[in-house]
Amino acid sequence: MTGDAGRRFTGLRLRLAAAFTAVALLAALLASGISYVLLRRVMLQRAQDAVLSEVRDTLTRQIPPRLPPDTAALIRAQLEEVLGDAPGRKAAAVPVALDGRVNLPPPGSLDVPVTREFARRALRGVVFQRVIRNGTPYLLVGARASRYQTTLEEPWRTTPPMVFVSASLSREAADLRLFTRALLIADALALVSAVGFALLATRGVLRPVRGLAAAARALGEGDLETRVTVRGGDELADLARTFNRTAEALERTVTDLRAMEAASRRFVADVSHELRTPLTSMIAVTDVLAEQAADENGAAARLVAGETRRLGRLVEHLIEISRFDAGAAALVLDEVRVADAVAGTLEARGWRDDVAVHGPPDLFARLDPRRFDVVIANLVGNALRHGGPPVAVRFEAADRHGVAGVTVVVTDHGPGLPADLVDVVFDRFVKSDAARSRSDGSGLGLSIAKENAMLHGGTLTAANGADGGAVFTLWLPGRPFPEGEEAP
Amino acid sequence: MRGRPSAVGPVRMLFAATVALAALAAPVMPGLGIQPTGIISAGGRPVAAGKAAGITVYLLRGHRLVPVVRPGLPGHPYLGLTQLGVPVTYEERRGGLRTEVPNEWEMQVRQDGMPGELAVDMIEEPARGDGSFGLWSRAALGQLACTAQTVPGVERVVLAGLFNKRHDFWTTVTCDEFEDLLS
Repeated sequence: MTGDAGRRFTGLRLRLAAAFTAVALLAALLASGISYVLLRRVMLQRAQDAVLSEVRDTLTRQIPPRLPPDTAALIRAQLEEVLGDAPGRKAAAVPVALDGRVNLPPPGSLDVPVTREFARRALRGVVFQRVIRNGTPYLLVGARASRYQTTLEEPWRTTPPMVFVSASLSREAADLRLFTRALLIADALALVSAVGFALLATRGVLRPVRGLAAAARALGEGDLETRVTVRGGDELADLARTFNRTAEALERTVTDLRAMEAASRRFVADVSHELRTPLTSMIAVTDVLAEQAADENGAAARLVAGETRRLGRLVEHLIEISRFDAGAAALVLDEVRVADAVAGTLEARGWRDDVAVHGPPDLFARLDPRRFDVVIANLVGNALRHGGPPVAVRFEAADRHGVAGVTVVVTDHGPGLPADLVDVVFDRFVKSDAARSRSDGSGLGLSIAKENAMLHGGTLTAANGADGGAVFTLWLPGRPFPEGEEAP
Repeated sequence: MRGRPSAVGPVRMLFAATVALAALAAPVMPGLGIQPTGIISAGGRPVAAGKAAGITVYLLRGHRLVPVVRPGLPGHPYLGLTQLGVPVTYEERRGGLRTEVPNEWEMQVRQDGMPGELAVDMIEEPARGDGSFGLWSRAALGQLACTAQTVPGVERVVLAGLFNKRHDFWTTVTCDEFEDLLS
């Protein structure tokens, strides 16, 4: 996941909202859990206490301190009737064995079976146990009366029975289920509310952050006058103030730098213009001197004439590139037959025999013929000077991103571009060391070619061919539409 | 530039929170509801403290009717009559007392006749079904009549189901009829 989709799930708002929700959820669950446990404890305690109290009270009331002889059956029946009277309850009274054995109630007399251990402990006191049987919870109680009088001779005739009571806790279980459902619904509502509140709260908190982010983006995109509104006195307000101070400093620095750069460019342009006139005269004079000295030993005069011409080209290039920097360069578009334009460029410079041209003869393009000539001349001249023959120019129609255009590819079969030069070959005054030593170029030709391509809205790229040699590819938009069709 | 957060965000977050809630609740769920316990002590044994007045039963010492007081049971005012059918206690036996009321008879006592009249249905267990009901001794009838009249408000006893000399099953007795047996 990338981009906006990725940020959506890792963004500050989501994280803040998730933390807020998690805290709310935890609090709700904790409160629910505590209330559930407390309520369950109280509910079960109350139910257990009610049954235990009734068992105790019944034994206390129904069994006198002295029993008439042989009334155990009567008392058992009476205890079972009284204790088993409530809904969901069953009672069983069994005789107390005086020989140490433990009597258990008959199977089926209670809802839950009584273990021998339970009966044994019930002989010594009141005991109870919660038992789940067939999914239904029951409370099992066992008890036996104390402090009654019997006889030494016939104790079995006057010993009261012990009782076991099973009480269904299904009503309490149903109440707990209802309570659980209510808590879950309440927690779900709390969760939904927490999410809503979290989103609202984080939206408010993050609004200044989003404003800062937008301002930073605008600043990065060059809008140096961007500032954010400072509200309040919190940390975000401090951050906004810091951002504004930084933006002011950046704007000041960039403005100064731009002014300095403009001044230096103006200086270069002015110098170039000032040099142009005397250089024109110097070129003419040195050419004459070189011709006059042609018959004699005039190497020095020819050298001066050559270097003067080179200086003149450099000045011309500087003036040209200064126009680009100043934004003064403008296109003068015309409908041009590409084959004728390329042939004209080669013919004017005497390269007709040195360069192979391939391309459809009827390919037309809408471009500035002077600038196209400059670009082709630079690329072909570069190939002839620094590359190896054969040098070829291929052109054809080529659409890019749905835009009709023309591609011109200039190739040579020389050593190609050094690897460290491929990416910077269009930078100003960039030359390979080997080229610098023998070239009489200005170091601005390819830069001017690139500027011209970009002025057309096209591209100029450099690479090395698969079978050696440099490959320069020019693409210019503006292929005219066939007759009868209009531009979109 | 990043757009406004999508509406999908809160929905997904709600879903995630619900999953988290379920994950948190899952370990707790088995602990919900009523859980079984072991055997828990709830204090000492209750004290037998039922309040019941003593009952007077007439036993025989020799051939004389002798009143003896036995402990009663709460809610059983006529317990004395049914007590006549049980064997005498060791103490009573040692005191020379005995009973002639046969213990194979079940007595069902009801007070639904004339004022001062106590009806006792005599049911022999097991019922022979041949009509040859045994005859009670006069002393046994005296025990019954005099014991019944110890209950406040009872003046005579109507015995139903006891075969008598008149060859019917209704016999009315009072303690006065056995004055000669009283000591």
